[in-house]
Amino acid sequence: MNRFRNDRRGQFVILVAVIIAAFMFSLILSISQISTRRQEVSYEPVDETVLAITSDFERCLTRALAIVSQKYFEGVSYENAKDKGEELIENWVSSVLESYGGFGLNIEKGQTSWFLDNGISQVFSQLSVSIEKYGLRRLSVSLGKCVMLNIINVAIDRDSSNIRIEFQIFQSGKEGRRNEPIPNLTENSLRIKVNDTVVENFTLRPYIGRGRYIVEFTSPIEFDDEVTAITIVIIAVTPEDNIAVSARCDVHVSFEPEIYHDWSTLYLAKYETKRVIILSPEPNGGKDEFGTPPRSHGQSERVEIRSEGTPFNIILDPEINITLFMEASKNKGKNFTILVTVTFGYYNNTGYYLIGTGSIEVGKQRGGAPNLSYNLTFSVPEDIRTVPKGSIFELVIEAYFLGGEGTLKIYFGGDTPSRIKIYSKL
Amino acid sequence: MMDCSRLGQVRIIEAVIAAILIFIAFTAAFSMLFSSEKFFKQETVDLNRLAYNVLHRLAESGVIETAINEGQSAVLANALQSLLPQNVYYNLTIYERDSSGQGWIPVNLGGKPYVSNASGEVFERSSEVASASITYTSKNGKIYYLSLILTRAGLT
Repeated sequence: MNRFRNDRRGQFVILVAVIIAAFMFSLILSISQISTRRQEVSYEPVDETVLAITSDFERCLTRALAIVSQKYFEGVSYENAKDKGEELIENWVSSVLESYGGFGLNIEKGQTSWFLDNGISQVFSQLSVSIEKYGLRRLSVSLGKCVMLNIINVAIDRDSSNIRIEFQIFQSGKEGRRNEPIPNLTENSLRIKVNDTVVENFTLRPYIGRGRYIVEFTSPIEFDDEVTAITIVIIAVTPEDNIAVSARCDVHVSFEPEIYHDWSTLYLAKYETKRVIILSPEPNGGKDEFGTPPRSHGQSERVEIRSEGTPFNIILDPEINITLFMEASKNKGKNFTILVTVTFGYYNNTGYYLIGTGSIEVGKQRGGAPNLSYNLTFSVPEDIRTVPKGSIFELVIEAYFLGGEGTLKIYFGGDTPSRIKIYSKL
Repeated sequence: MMDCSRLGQVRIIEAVIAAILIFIAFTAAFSMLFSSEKFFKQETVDLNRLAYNVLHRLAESGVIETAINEGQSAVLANALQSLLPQNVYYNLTIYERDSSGQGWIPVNLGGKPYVSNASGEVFERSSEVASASITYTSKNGKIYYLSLILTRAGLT
């Protein structure tokens, strides 16, 4: 009886194995079927089709804006220029409907908005896409194209009639990305007018980054006493998309001799009766004087010397020369020097702009007149050469004592005119 | 004593048979799971996506415009070769919207109305062919229709 039971148990193991195998077989096949069906659903290229349509609509809008903006700035009326752009968009819609006819495509285009204003050329439109084959209903997409031109600064030299304009140009990023600077403008991309007179010859300086450019030219109109203001218009055509954008600004050029000091050289000078050294466009009279940077215990000596706000825009020379008359004295060590760090820059309501920084070693001088002059030359970064009206120049002098203690004397006025030559007089 | 020993051997044989049964079931199921048909389905999906991606890249790069303006198929052929794997055959046909806006005209590129690295028979014989098409608005305001057909070498 026992033997019979044991025999049956062995068959039972095989029977269970068969059942498990059949179960696993059916389970694997079921999972496989489910995944296959899911893959079949994803075979429908909805994303790709929608992306293809919207990308091309963006190209269409870009081209339409190029047509409208160019015609408008050539003098065609706004309505007529706009009609040309609308014509292209209508043609595009009918072409796409025909191309994707087999998909049951339907496109509803919203109203197209155009902005051709000072500093901006923009088009904006909405598209509602339905693709019957894929069950896509009224997918609404907003697309546009925009180019922005901003005149940052205009500097005019009345004597030479030289005009220097700094401007910045941006365009909207593709597929909704952030605005991007346009780095490849050429002289052929620009048209400049001064009081409606076209500037025939101008020089576009090399690209200085962040969409910023500097253009220089001689004014086509003479600055006589009657001219108190001029209107400058820049029309830029983007090299990639041929979209035209215009920016204009009115600049006052009234001649007021009393405020037009010669700022070509800034001298270290004493401010009226106060014990403060300033940067002044006028030398410190005939007197030799010296100042000593204040010193806190255990720290370097430091003095910040500032000018008043500039009364007009200044175009700095490509290289600035700083001449400082300095002396190291009252030393306690036998052999010591002072490491003097000089930093020069300017600031205004848009921020601080560093022109340059450098170091000089000033040795201890025994007896005699403090006639040692030290020179530094800074190359001015191209993008900060135009110093806007109202900016304040700042010279920072820091002294580090090496191998002893002493005092740094900075001389100015008379025969020791410490100074900074910032531009050349014409 | 002898009976007990035989009984143990029989148990081992039963267990081995059971394990073999389960193994066979797994093998059969997995062989059906990875059948060639499903590979083909996946192949088509991959090629389809690849075709759309390639067309999108061509449109964004401006190669189409250069090729059409210069009438050179070599520019497009080079671009396609660099964007596609080496074992993929392609056929790109470009149509231009006619001036009346009523139909499409094939664009002649280097003497042929298409750019391809294989004869038409390759696509006819291939068991799996993927295709994608887009419209392209050029910088001179013309509208084109691009149709790209892809197949992988060896799928017959």
